[in-house]
Amino acid sequence: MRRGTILRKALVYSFLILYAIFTLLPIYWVFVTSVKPSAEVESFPPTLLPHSFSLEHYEFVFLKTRVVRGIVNSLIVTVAVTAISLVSASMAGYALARFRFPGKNALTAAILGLYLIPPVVNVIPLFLLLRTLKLLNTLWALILAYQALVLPLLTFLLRNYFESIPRELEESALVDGCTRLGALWRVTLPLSIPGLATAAIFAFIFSWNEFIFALLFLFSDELKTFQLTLMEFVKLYRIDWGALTAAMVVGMAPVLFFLAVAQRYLIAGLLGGAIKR
Amino acid sequence: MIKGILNSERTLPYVLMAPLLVLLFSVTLFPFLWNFYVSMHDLKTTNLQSGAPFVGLANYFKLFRDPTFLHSLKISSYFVLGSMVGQFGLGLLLAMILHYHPGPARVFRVIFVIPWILSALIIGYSWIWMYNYRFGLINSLLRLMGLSPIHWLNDIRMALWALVIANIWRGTPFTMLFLEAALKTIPSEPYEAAKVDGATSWQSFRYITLPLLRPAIAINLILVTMWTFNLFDTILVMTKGGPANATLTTAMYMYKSAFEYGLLGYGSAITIVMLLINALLAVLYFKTIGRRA
Repeated sequence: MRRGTILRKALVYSFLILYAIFTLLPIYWVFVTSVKPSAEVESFPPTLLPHSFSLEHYEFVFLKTRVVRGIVNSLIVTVAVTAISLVSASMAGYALARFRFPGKNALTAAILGLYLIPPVVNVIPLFLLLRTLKLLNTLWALILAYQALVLPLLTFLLRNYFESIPRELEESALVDGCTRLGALWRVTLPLSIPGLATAAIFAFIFSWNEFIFALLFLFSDELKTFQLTLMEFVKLYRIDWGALTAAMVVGMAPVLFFLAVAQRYLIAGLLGGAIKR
Repeated sequence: MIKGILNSERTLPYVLMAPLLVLLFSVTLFPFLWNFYVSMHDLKTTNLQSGAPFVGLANYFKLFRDPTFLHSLKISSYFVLGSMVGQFGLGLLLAMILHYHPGPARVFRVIFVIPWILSALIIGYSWIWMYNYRFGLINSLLRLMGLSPIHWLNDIRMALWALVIANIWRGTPFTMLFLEAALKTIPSEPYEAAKVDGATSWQSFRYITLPLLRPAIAINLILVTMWTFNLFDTILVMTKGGPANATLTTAMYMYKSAFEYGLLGYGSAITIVMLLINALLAVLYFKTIGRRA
């Protein structure tokens, strides 16, 4: 019996470690390439551990390419997307969590239904819509288009969060003479900061990572978002792997940072949008 | 007046819902409906200004006589099937392990989630670099083992499977998290009863866990199938549908038709057919796996 448990534990751990290696290997390979000097990046056979360490690719990426401009553009888009989506989704999420009103179930079903429309299906009409509005090749195109990606998820996420805050707190504020909106502003909102933060991180990650809409809706070099600037390292016959991997590490950094600081909320949120109703 | 609307229980919820509904209408519902109209016109990037002629269902009829489209359906089914088997098998195994070993789960769960939240572009480039013929890690390992290296992404027979592996890497974390959460909802009583009756752990898995997980598994498989069928971001980065259309999934063919060949109406008809396939898959799954055991 006892030997059986030990054997089982060994099996479980070796599988976990193997899968962790499988998960981390591509990321490790990118990272390790980014800190190799140019000569070593394309030396044969490739070195699993770098023989010498160099930051030359990072220096190149930050000083001699459009990456910094791309980061700025991405941040503009990201901040705008997050602000707009957070305000409208939290208002709607609050209404769904706290009020009973005619049409509520139909609206909830409609939002869920819209969430199930795959973005790929809407790409062409979105392109045509933005063209008609003369918003193609402006950052507004992305700020609007990304709402389609984040709004339903954020609404359900925030609705669930508001539902978890006891209604009685607000009711006692109402008894004390607060207005309905005053109670929301002074009582519920401060308690919802973790939920709002999770939602904001989601909006950030979605807008930071997206590149299909960006590729189709932007044409000018100066407007390129960060992800699009990565594509500049890929030429027809040659890829500058040193610079590309360095830029990729820069791109992964904020996402991994948010995963590290908010893992519990993020994992719950990843499922919250998918599971609940 | 405004104060009255904002503080009345009857009107306030609608005021609060309004911005969301306006946004969702303009960026999701309206484009969605417009798509049907577009699919019935011979819209091209060349006649965007002058206006496209109405062609009725001609785009759809053309579609089902288009050998490349039919080929893309075949490629998509391989891509979906391969990804699904890998993601589901590994995801279920990992979910079980994490569920029954909460100690190591805390560390490993975060590691396993990483691929799910990275950008498709970065995932695509990472795997191109892994698959690189001379400098890639995978071929280096093959050489170390005395095997001959493979032209992963340039080989007609290998490219699709190379994409499937990358997609399993990317998508397994979702299934793992999803099924782990579902496992947490199963009560412990049936297991205790089974233990008293002398059931082996395989028997408890087969006759308690699997039946109780069935609805969750159905939803998971639907989501994974839809996402994989609709996915083209990593494919666009890694192979663009090549070599020789060997990785041209339906979603990828839609992208090429609309944005490389400029056939917007035709591409839009493809997306409508994709939508129907999505709906069909969902119904099929619920009919088979989702029914009460």
